[in-house]
Amino acid sequence: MFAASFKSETRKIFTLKTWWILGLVMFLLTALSAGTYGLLAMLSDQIPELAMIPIDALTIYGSITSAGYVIPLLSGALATTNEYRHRTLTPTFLATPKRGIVFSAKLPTQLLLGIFYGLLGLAAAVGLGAPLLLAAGYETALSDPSTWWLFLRIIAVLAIWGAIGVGLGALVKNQTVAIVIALVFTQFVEPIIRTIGAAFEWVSEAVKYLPGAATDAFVGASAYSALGEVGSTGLEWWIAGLVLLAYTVLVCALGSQISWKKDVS
Amino acid sequence: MSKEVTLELQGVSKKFESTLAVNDLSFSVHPGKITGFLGPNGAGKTTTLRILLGLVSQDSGRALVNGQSYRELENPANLVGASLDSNSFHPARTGKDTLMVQTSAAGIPDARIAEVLNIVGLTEAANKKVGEYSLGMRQRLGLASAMLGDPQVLVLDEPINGLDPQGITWVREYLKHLASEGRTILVSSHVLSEVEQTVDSLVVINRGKLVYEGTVKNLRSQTKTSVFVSATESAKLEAALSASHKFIKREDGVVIEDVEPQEIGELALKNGIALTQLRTESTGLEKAFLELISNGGAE
Repeated sequence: MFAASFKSETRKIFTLKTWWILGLVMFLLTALSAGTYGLLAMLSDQIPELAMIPIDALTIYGSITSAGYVIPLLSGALATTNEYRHRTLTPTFLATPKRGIVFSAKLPTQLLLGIFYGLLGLAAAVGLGAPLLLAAGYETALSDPSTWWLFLRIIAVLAIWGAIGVGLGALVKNQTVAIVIALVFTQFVEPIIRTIGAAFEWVSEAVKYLPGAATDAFVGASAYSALGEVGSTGLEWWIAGLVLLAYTVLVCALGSQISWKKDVS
Repeated sequence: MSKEVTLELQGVSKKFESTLAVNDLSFSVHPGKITGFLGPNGAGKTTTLRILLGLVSQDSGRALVNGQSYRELENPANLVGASLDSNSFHPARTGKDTLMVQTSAAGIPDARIAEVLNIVGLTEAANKKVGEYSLGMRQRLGLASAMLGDPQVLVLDEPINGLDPQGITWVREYLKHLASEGRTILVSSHVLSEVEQTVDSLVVINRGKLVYEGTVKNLRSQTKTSVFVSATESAKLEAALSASHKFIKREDGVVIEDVEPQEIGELALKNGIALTQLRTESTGLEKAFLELISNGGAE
């Protein structure tokens, strides 16, 4: 039953355009952020003020997650909210009346898509970032094993965000609301809180546990840490990973146990 | 058919906030015939069908397919085919892709898709997006989806809605054919005349309560027809009628209840009255149906 449901969920994704449109956005977003940092690196010997920003290869590669984690989040949220919005839960639950199976079949499809988005992000960040670093006279760090370890963490965290999206969409139901929450929280609310948090030590202790901060801490290199959250050291990478897993479990449990179980009429 | 499957509701009730949508409803649907599920809009038909198919949870009572609740069925699509909502398709998916999502979920070979599309006459529109389909085409797609598993049971909610006259005739003939193979078929409608010629049995509900369960024939025999008649010399007609019949005067003629048109024709002939119109006002079946659903129901 699970295998059949997984196959059906995969077909749901590849019979629509959303997956590659989001992939394209992922690629462009990462290219933009890696390109910007690459250009800053090139300009830093001419403009001394720029040297304050510690740009290195890991910052550029790490920008994949800070710029792009919203992409798998949206992908996952669309996978569940599409079912409510287009009333496709009716045929879906007619074919697979055990609803938990349908929900759990959505998770691996979105985990795999998250990995796909991670690979696209890496292609853009390395493809554009590495030549710019070389041109600026920096190391690309591609021969360093820790860089490849960073790549793995980037891919893993993007996969996790796909699963968080599935849970968020299932819980919220309304597609527009889910998209607004995903965009506003990741792009405005959390960055603002983190900026404020940087100024007050007691806030920064709590801010570390926000999903975006945990994502950065897990990856260990990102724009925020580069731009210097003063006084904030962030979580240990493995604690950050556990925090993200806790968010995933919480939002998926709420989504699958509350909204997903309601009457489909 | 390998086995005959019965649908059964036992004392099912469902409340939505303050309204009792389904009220202690019990009935059964048997194989080898088409059962019409009738009631006015808002009577609780759709809710009942969704309870039967595990999409809505009842507050009390049991809804059984082949003796089991739908949610317990191992692979329901091979036993029950259902078309409940002509708007339950993603508009950006093609008709064929919509069915591909269903076959994979139910473990049905993809080769079956071309077959069902051919049955419902959507082969040419298979690669068109469902968003470009007319209501009638979406109804056909729903029926195609229901037929994927070649199921013993078909549950269709208002399947004729939106179909053109040819489509309606085709659906009627197709359902009759399926019933003749021993399948169990439940078809809902809020218009009796829509299904009158097709169904063998009727389940009528009003305000969530059962008001009739039985054959069409039995319901028809419960009332007689009424007749509308008019004549150029209307005063003479009324005088002739008043001796033997009760009638209701209308602007352009009179209506006589519980009578056959032949009787009135003969009376007119005997009195030398030239009739301008003589027709059955409403069939007995329609009247009986309207009586069933005009009562308080739940009260």
